[in-house]
Amino acid sequence: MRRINIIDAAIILIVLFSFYSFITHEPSVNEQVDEYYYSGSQIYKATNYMNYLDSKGFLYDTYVKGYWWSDYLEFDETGYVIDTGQGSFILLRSNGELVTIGGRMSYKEQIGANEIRLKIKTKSTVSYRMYAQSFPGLENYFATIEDTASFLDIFDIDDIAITSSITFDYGESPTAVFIAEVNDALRKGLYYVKDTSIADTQNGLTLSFSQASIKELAKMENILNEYGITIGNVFSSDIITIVRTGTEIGELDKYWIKQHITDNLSSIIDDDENSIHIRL
Amino acid sequence: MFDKLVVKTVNCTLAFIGRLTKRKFPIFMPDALARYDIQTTISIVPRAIDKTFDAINEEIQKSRGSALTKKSLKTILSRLPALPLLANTKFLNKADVCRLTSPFIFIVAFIAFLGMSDHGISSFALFSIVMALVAYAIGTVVAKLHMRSIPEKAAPYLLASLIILVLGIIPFGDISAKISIIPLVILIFSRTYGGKISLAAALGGYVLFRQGMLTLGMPYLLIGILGSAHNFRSTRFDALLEDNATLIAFLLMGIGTLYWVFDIALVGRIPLLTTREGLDPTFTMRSHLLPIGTILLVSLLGEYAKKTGSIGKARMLTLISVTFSVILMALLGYRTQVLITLVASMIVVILWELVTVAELFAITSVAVGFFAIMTFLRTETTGAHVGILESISIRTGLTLDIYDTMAQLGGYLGFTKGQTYMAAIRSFATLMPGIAFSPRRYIAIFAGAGGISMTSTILGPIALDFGLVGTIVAMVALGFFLQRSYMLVKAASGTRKSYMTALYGLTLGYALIGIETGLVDYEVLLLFACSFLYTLHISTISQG
Repeated sequence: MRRINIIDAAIILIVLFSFYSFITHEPSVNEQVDEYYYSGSQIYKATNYMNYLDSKGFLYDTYVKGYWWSDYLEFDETGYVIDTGQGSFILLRSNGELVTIGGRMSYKEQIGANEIRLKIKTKSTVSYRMYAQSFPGLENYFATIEDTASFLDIFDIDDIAITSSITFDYGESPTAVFIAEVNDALRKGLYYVKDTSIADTQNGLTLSFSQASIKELAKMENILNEYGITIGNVFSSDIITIVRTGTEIGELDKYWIKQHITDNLSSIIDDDENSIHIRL
Repeated sequence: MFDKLVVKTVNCTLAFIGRLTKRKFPIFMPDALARYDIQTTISIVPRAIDKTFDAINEEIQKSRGSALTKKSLKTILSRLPALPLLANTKFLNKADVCRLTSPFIFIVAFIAFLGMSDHGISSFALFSIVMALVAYAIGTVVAKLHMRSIPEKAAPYLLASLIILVLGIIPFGDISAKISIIPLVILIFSRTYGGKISLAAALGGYVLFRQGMLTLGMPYLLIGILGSAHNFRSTRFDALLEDNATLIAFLLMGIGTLYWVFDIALVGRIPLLTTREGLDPTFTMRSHLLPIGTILLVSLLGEYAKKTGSIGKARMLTLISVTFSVILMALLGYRTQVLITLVASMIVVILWELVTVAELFAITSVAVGFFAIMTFLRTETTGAHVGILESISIRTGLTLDIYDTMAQLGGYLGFTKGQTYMAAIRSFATLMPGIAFSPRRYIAIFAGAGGISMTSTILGPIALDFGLVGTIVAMVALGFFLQRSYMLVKAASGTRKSYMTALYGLTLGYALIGIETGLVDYEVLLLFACSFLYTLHISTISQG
């Protein structure tokens, strides 16, 4: 038998250390349920998963630990992801500021992340399309959305998010500066909202929002009031509603949910099978 | 009728050449062809090929280029000062260091690579990596087995089943073609039919391939080529290579340098100091012949040192040629070429015992020290909180993460079914629907990034194309090939050993670097293909 020399010993040591280093890392993300961990070098996987969660309508907080590239100060915050790019994403901080986050070596973004954690707050989602209609006021608009979703209360509704636009009368034609100011105030004032914008249309204003939590939208009227905008009658476009539940919906529940919509809510919700989506 | 036509054509051609060169050729009659039936013609072909090789060899030997290269090398070596040898350590001899060049170093390097990552991977990706490394080890064990011919009694039955299965393609389609690969592979090892079947498979595969039937043509073509390399043995071909090794090394270096100059002249700047944008991919690819030529030259110098005992001079010229190659490749801005020159030359000098153990440790220590200083300088000058080691760890993590995604996407049988590897060949890439991407750009797109290229370890493209099953097959082949080459490096002698050492150094080097970058570049795949064929050919000759 050949003797073991220093080279063999070095090789054995390298293999052992490497094995140890590898197996002591964070466990695979696939084995976790409510919290997904990614290192900075897994930014592509993280953004892919954010896109996946967004496409299902799940609500999640994002914890980021890293450095500001400008001065290498530590960044350690939880925020809400409003958009993703290629190996980067935009995080909305609790103070309304938007920051761009990249991987540990992504100098292009403001922050180089060492650690990203996605904390999922939703167990299941039900999404459907409500028909476009007019409402006597914003309060009635929200109340209708909530009432329509109330049949899912047994699943402990955590949040309702909507993607839609509303148009209401506004006497004078606002200036571009005014519109930009309101847009900025809305972005900073509304947290769990992917996107929001206000635009001047003939004789009125149109407010658009994407995956906006109606709890957050409830603050909208106050924000608009500060700029002298009062909302009377509104016309809403089709409302893509995502009901986020705190309890997991069972496989068999899918059938009665669709049946319930067909039997009782078909006048306000599109009851076509392809318009109702349930993510368990 | 056909013989008359052939004779008439030959006579006309000879008459034309005779008129131009004022020479007289005999006039052939159709009766002269009568004795050349198919059997006789086929038996003449190998002799004709041998004669052709002899004629080429003779011409090269007489050429001024050959004489000039030999004279130049001799003059350089005679005038060059010798690089003295350092004292050797007592606890480690040269033979022990050779273990670092064993094919098993690939497994060690892969595990070390995993250990450098800053995060874990999914269970499936980890399982795939373990299976791939086990497959590689199995390949190295299989390579040690003696390749025997199949019993000749079984050959006719296999041939009949092959014919039935090939004809079965008409009613049963692809499934029959896939099954036909089994008797085809076995028949390659038949003494009677191996050569003929290999040639027929290669030609048939090529025709199908040209007709666009890639899934059918490609396996037949590959098996045919491999079979031909295994069955056809011509010592004249080896003599042609071995007698002109110095010329070939200088030619490769010369062509590489020439295209390096063209590439630089085309952009009018040094890419390392500016950007690689604008470099011509074809020129760049051809400039990569420089490291290949350099490694062959280093190997030849090793042989020279062994023969003459002038180790010092061989070491000096090795140092100069490697430095020249490294600097030129570095100026072009390609890290892989710099690394391959360093890694492959290191493997070759260890195998030829051109370095001592003390030097090896000194070089490693200098490299580690260099990294440490660079980390310090980087932190001091830029204030960046990312050290060299951390950046290596992050890069490793990203590559492993991309592999994880590719492994999930490829599953057990693959997702893109060969498209990623096909994209390595530019003319094939444009045949595919959509935009023509390079393999690494395909990987990036599947990982969720567009417009950039991404590495996904040596296993990533295979997993994406052929899944776990394909990965296992590919790794068995890689293990088999590298172990076979290693055994030949140990067994061969003279210039043949120089070739084998250079090819082994290059392929093992690429395999090691490929752990991170992947083996998807056209010239690298071509190098592996040529090395594999040469190894098979030499193995057969050695066994013969």
